[in-house]
Amino acid sequence: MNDKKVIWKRKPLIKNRLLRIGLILLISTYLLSVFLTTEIDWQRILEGIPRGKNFIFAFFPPDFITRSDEILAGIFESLWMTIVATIVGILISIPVSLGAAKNIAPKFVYFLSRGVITLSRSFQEVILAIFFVKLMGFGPFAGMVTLSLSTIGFFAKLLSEDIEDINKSQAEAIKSTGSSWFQWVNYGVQPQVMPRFIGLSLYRFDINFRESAVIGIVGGGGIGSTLNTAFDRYEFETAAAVLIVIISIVMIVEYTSSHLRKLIK
Amino acid sequence: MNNKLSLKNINVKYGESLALKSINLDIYKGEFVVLLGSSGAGKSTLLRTINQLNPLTSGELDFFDLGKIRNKKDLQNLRKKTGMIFQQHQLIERNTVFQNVLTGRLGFHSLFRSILPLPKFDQELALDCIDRVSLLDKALVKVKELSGGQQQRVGIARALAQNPSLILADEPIASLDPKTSHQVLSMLKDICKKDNISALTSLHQVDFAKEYGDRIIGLSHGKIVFNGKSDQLSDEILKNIYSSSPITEEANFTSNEVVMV
Ligand SMILES: Nc1ncnc2c1ncn2[C@@H]1O[C@H](COP(=O)(O)OP(=O)(O)OP(=O)(O)O)[C@@H](O)[C@H]1O
Ligand SMILES: [Mg+2]
Repeated sequence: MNDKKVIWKRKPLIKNRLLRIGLILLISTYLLSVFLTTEIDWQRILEGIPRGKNFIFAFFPPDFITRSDEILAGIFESLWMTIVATIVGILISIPVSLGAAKNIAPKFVYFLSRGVITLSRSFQEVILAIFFVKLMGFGPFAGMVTLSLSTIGFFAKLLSEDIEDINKSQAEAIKSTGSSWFQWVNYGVQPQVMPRFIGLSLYRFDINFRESAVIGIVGGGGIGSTLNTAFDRYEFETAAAVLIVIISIVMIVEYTSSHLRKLIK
Repeated sequence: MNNKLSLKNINVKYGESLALKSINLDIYKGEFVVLLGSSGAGKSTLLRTINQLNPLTSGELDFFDLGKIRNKKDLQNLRKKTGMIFQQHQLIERNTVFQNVLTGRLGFHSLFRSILPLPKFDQELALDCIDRVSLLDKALVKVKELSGGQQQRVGIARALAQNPSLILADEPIASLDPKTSHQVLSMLKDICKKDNISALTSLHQVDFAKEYGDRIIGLSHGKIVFNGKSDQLSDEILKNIYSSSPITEEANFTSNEVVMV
């Protein structure tokens, strides 16, 4: 046996030593100067503390009762929005993700589908929501459309990556039985991506519910709207109740979905 | 009525290089033919050209009752009647044995019909095929939980479920131990004989080829250099088949189907 020890060192990202040290110096100086030149107004921070305290105390005790109808309606609207948007979004995502998989789609379709995905991903939900609220008026429909569209970018991108990773020879065997293209997709590709498909659906449901609360604030309906109204009326106790409800539901959804995803694996 | 598969003057190019050079070959109904050749000789290419998982560059295919393969529809029918067995079995590993064998029936149904569970007839046929490869007790087990030999038998069952006229097998025993290899090969051959299915099987082991092949085809550098019975397969000829430099002329075999350039 060779008892000479070989010490393995991680290769540095930048090979040239001088360049590396120079860059590190440059970046540290920049960060230091940024830190030193940022004006921190201690006066304002001190003044803000008691105001913040008052603001936070105004939330207590949370009031679930006075506006219970509105809170309930908000929850149901949000859930409905989430469910419909997730389903619609995923249904549209399926063809898009097939089109966006290099190993399946012809070049033209590939670029088209990638375009759709990029477009959908380049707008943040809130921005989309503001746009659709303007277009379609306040309410859950605008929210639903927003969430459906942003589901496409997320879902189709991740699913198409999984489709690109399939074992091509397993799928090829299906082709060799004389199946049509759709049968090939359904029997050769689909079983290979199904676990991921279910996992992503649950994950997206989770995200959509959280987003539904946010886009409600800009007029997209649901529990977010309820929250917004409560703030507008200075009913901080109700707002606190709504926040608690949102947090609990998000936690429940997240817990269930991660649990379900584990089960599938 | 046409009782054979004919390859006529088949050429296959990968880019600029010719992988198959004017292949002429007949395979008769119920014949068990073994394909020999060193690595890179073009065995896989030849097999995959027959059901056109690889497109052929030029040449003609005549497939049993179907006759000349002219268009996509013909090709679909050819594939329907051709079972393929792969070295790496190529089953959907997450699915059960039964689900995998059932995919052999896909070509016989429209898309919409195949979204629903397939008809009872197909299901029973699939179970029957699983029974013939002695895996009935594993029918509902996921393929990835089976041994290599068992997986290869599932591959045979899937091919069988197609009710094929032809089975193409690309090194079906390459990843199996000798005992299992004999099991799988003799099972395959028995079934083919019983159902009068023609088979073209590529192998790496000469002794297996001699034992199982009704006829042996020797392929070297994309050309057929031997085509005859196993007792005609002399050491001299074997050297030719496995020689490293392309053979041009001297091949002079009994069968008149040998192509000379
Ligand atoms: N997809 C491909 N693209 C380009 N060249 C290929 C491709 N597949 C095979 N070839 C080339 O064609 C020739 C024949 O390959 P083929 O796979 O048919 O050989 P083989 O006899 O099956 O070999 P092995 O015993 O190693 O499986 C080889 O020279 C190979 O490099
Ligand atoms: Mg090969």
